[in-house]
Order: sequence, then structure tokens, then C-alpha cells
Amino acid sequence: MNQQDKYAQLFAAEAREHLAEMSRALVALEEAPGERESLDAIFRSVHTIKGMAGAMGYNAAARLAHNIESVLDELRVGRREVSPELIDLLLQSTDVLDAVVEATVAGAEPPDPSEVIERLVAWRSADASQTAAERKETGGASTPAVPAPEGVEVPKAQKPLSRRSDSSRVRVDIKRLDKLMNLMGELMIVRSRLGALADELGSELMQELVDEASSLISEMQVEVVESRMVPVWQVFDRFPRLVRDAARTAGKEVEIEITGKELELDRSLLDAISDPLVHLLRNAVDHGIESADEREKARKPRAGKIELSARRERSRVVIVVRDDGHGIDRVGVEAEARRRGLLPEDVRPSDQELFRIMARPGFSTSETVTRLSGRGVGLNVVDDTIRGVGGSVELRSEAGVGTSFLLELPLTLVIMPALIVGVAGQSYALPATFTRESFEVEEGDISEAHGREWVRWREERLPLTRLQTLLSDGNGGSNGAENDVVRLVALEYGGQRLAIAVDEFVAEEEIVVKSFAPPRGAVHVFSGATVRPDGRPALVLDVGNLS
Amino acid sequence: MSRTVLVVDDAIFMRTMIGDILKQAGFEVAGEASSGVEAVKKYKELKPDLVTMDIVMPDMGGIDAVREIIDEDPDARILMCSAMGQQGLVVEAIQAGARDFVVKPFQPSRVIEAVQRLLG
Repeated sequence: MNQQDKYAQLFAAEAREHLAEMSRALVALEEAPGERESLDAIFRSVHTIKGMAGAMGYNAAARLAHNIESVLDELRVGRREVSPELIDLLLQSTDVLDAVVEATVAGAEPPDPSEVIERLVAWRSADASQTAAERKETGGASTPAVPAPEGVEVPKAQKPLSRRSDSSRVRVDIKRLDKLMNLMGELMIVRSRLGALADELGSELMQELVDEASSLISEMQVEVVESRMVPVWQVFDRFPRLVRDAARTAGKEVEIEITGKELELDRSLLDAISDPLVHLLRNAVDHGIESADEREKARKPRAGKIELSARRERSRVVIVVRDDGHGIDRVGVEAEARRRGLLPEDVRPSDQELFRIMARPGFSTSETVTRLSGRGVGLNVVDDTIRGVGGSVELRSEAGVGTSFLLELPLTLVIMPALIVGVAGQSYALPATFTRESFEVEEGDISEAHGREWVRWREERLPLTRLQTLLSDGNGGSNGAENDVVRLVALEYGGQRLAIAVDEFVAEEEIVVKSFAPPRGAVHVFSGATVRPDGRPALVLDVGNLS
Repeated sequence: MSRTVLVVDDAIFMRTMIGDILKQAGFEVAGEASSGVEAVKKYKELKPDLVTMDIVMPDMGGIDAVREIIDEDPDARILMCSAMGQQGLVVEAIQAGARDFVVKPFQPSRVIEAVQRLLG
């Protein structure tokens, strides 16, 4: 990589962080206009972008950043005050700066920032009666090129607002981490095979060496996985701005509360869920939350509330988007589903069944549901994306009270704990994200109703799927069961529980998932493949498609 | 033996660029710092021959860092690297004890020149 490319990459990465920081701090400044820390944080960010852009010779970006900085200076010295209009102008300027930066780093001609620069200059010269008079009094020459008067207060020691990396860190291309992770995966497979071989050979010395290598590899795996983890605020910090803008456009009052921002997630996973979250948040503003007047009539506070939270539960991460709006229009969705023949007349769907219907490709483009979940991209995109990364979506809706979407995600993409089960002599992997318990019952404990089998688990009755039947297209029969015992795994996926019957429980293992293109026409029950310690492949079951 | 430099800037981009310029001219970058607080700490630790110092940084700005470093070592040689529009602050920094300044975006030759003059 030549030096110029290296600088361009550093510039792009750092400028993006600062742009995100600017948006975050601007919204914070709007909420608390007197907040010195927010103002200083915005100033520092735009100042840094200006310096970097100047050094790169990115003139459009440098010029715009300079003009934003000049406006901020007026605020910092207390000559002018924060107003909602100014925040709008600064947010728009930030957007333009973002566009200019992105175009520039992509090697394209950046958009001309002159229009917004003129407005920034106009803002500074507005109210000129006062400032011009002051300037005359102090005799200070004011050329726009030198906006910082002497003695401007530079922020003193304060808690670092921008959580940027310090000098003991380096930036690494995510592709390199991907490569490292894949190599790690290969190494884990080799380790398993070595372990199996050592067992077979019965050599104590070799066993010792394998154990030692094994524990080193485990440690290394933890480090590699950790190195890919980033706090979710890197994406979540954009959302207050997004919700604010969406609410303004929709003419609604909406507050957003974000919790669990420090939770860490695999970088690729976080990138993958960013768009679905944007979609769910927009939905919540556009279709979930009522207008202020409607809310008042329903005796709710005029301002609607969206809660976005991230938390860790066992070996998964749960992200919840909850609004306190009117809930899903059940009647509308049910009517549309019946019209399309997706729902029998006498069935009242559960929330989750409702979601499955709404998440069908094409369903959300219908008139009724566009109103409910709209904007062209339907819930099916949300559902597909989340399932694509090995997660699940659950809907909870209560009329008049609100709607929640729960996204359950694995912690990382490539390496995950799994339960290995055997069916008809083959091994299959069930991601631990969805397994609840493995247990055994007798054949007589299985009942039949509504055309399928059911089994009791704890206090519940779970629908039962026999893997062998599913995998052999019904030709296999249940010859695997010696005596009467049926081995079952309780699974939970998207808020629904089910049981699957297997021939044997083989092991609990960390598996390395290889992406997998299912053969044409095959049953869509596999999400990937992995290699077992004995070197044989095992298919990873897509739990969402097992019921 | 090559002279050592501590590079202080809150942007990795700037630290990299300044570091490259200095390395190409045969200096050794002994360390980097991304805030005033870190700069003071690293100065005490590394005792570099020279410091390049940004002005606007989180967690103690460059001028206060200059004051603290000069308190510690009155002979410290500090070169301010300021962005355009901060000339007023540069004067303040010089009063605080900085020896010279270069304005970003800088010419590599200008940086080397200033550094060599400082190390005289």
C-alpha cells in the first residue's frame, strides 16, 4: 500500500468516527443547549476533520469544516446562542460534510458544499447589527478566515467525551480480522482432529502436546474473537438523530431511550443488523407511535417513546426495539392475510404467527401493511437479514400499549457453541443460541393432536418434529430408537418453543461454521456446515425452519 | 544516535503523517500521545529530544500540556502543530514555552526545517 493510500484510509476511518460523534453531540446539544461538553466535542471533531482534510488536500471538505468550526466558535465564546434552527443547520452541514467526505474518499467528485457554506456564513452575519457594533467597538478586524479570536477557551481536563482510540491502539482492516478468524477456525478443526488421532494412537506424550496446543489455541481463539468485538454505540449513536429526523418529518413527538450501549458485538454482526434496526426504528416512528393529538385522546403522554436496548443473555445477545404506540393493527393484517389465503377463517394468529405473515416477501408492499410497516422495504428484509446472521426476530404487540421487536443474535458469526446430535448415523449441529435443554421421554409420552405430534417439556406442550422424518423426506421411519426412549432437544426460536427428536446426543462443541450453498431443491433446514474432530462434515441446522 | 520525538495529536491520521515525515528525515518517533494528559505522562517517561504538539485535544488541550511539560523540564523543546485559524492560540502556546509552530496542513519540508532549527 503506498503512503497516500494509507493516509486516505486513515482519513476515511477517522473522519467517519468524527462525523458520527458530531451527530451524536449535536442532538445532545439540542437537548441541553447549555452543555459545554457537547459543544466542545462537536468543535473538536470538526476541527480534526478540517485538519486532516487540509493535509490530504481535500479542499471541499476542509472548506466546509472550517465554516462549521467558525459558527461553533461564535457559540463557544458566548457571542451567539444555540437555537433549534441552528441545530438543524449544523446537522444539515454535517450531512453535507459526510457526503463530501464519502465522495472524496471514494475518489469521486464531491458534491459542491457552497450552498450550505453560504447559509453558515449568513448565520454568522445575521444579527449583524449587534456583532458589527461590537466589532467596531473593539476595533477587531474580522476576516472570516480567522474565526478564532485570541484567548478562546480551550477545553481543559475533562472526561473524554469522544471515546476514540488512544495512541496505544492501531487500526486493522476488518478483512484482516476475517482472515484471522477463518484461519483460527481451520486451526480449531486441525486441533480436534489431532486430539482424535492422539486418542487413537494412545501416545501419552502426544496427548500432552495436543493438550498444551489445545489450551493455547483456546486462548488465542478468545483473543481473536475479542479483537472483533466493538461496542454497539458505534451504530446506536446515530439513532437519536435518525429518530429525531423521522419524527420531524412525520410531525410527531418522539423520544428515544437507549440502554446497553457499551455491550460488545462482532463487528460484522453489528454492521449486518444496522439496516434492520434503522427499518424497525423508522417503522416505530411512522407507524407505531400515534400523533400527539391521538395520544392525548388515549390519555398517553403527547411524546411517544422508543426504547432501544441491548443485553447479553447466556450465549446470545438480545436487542429490543420497543415503542409505546398503538400496537400492530391486528384486524387489518388478519383481513389482508385471509384475503390472500394465508390464514384460515377460524384461526386467530399469535403475535409470532402475525409476524411470520407480515414478514412474507411481498406482503408488506400491500396497501394495508404499507400503512403498518411500510417504506418499501418490508419486514421480510429485517427477518431475512437477522436469520442470515444466525439470529431470530420475535414480535410482541399489545393493542393500545405498543409494539416490541426482539432480535436474538449469536455473539459471533463464525465460531459458536453447538449441540451435536446424531440422526441415522449422521451428525448435525444445533447452534446453542437456540437450544434450551436436551431431555428424554418414552414413546408413550408423545401425543397426537391437530395433525402433528406433541410432547410435554416442563410445564408446556411443545410441537414435536422428528429430525429423521424431516431429513429423509419421510422415508426413514423410526428405526433408530432402541427400546422406547425418545431423545429430544427443546429449542426456542423467535419466542416459539419446539422439540425435535434425534437418535443420539453426541457432544457439545465449539463449531466453526462454513457458509453453505444448499443443493438445489434440498430441504431448507441447513444454514451451514462444520467439520467434526474426526474430520467428517456435519451440517448446521437452521432452527428457524425446523418447526 | 538519532534524535527522539514524541508526537502528540488526537488524530491517528495526523500522528501517522507527522511520524512518517520525521522518520523519513531520520528521527526516531519515541512515542505518541493522543491527549494533553497522555503527553505529559509520556514526556516524563520518555524524555524525548522534541515534542510536536497539537492544540485542540480532548482531556487537556495542547497549551496546558505545554505549561505542564515546561514546569517539569524548562528546557523541553516543543513544536506546536496547529490548524489554520488557531494563530491566537499559537501565541499563547509560545508564551507558555513552546519554541515554534507550524500550521496544518503542513509542508513536510517546513516541519523538518522547524524541527532541525529547534534541535540546532
